[in-house]
Amino acid sequence: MDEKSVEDLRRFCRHLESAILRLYPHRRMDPSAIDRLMWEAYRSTDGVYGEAEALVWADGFQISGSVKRRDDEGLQRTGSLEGEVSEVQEDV
Amino acid sequence: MSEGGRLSHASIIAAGVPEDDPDYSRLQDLVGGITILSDEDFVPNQAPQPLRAKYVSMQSVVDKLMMELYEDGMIPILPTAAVQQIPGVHFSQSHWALKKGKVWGRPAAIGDASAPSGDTGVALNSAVVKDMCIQKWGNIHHPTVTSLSALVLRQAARVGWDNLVLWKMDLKGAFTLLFIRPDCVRKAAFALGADKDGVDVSMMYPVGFFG
Repeated sequence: MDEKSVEDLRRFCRHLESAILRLYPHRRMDPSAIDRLMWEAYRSTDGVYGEAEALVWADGFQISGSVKRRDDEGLQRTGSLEGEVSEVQEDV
Repeated sequence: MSEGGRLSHASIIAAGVPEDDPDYSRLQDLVGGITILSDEDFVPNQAPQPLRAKYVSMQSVVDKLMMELYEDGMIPILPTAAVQQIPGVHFSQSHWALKKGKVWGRPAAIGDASAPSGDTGVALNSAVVKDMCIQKWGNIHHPTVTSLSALVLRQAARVGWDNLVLWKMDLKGAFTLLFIRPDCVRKAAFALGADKDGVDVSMMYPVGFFG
């Protein structure tokens, strides 16, 4: 997370705090709870990953040889792509 | 939406869409699947294009994502040679893109149906097709932030801020909730690389996809 994003997030937390105070002036509020919520929201939705991380996630995955046989058999059995697709859609 | 979140004849009735509403017949038409429209210049290429450099470098990621769809019963994966035997089949290219917050990138990877085929020079998707879709199903007008804010303010004025609760609903894998008509799926072929046997395989999209 770069410095500008950190600064933007801090500023947004303070805006949110003042907005909540305007809406609920008599309610006690823990500003750190807002900070935690916003940091967690940022972390869960704005984490930027790259290709290297994705490749680690995939761990050298390859499609098994048996995969194509299942659907090729389905294509032979139903006699057409439409027939196989209709079966797939019925099962979804 | 029906059980499982899919559109169905029953769910349209349950949603209370009046039969004289123009959307009623459009929705009924979509239950059996969306028609992949193509312009009159469209020529199916009948053969896969060279794999994109991005797909080649990210093949393990894309293929792992595709296997999740396969295991959910969403897509068939076939030997590419068998797919090429299907009359009128059209291949578009697979690739991959980052997505914020997701280490694996876009959930269902991306099928790029807008890139012109190298041999025919024609893409499945085009500006003409976009106009045809608007003609058939209507235009999409997204609500603005201002209009959404006005809704919140109106409700707050009605029930008071203390009684106002905001809910956000997201459709998981929204594209996949729409079927593609079985007779149109031949236009939605995407070549993948070789499987563990060293055989080139391709996938077909019987459900909606991103790209």
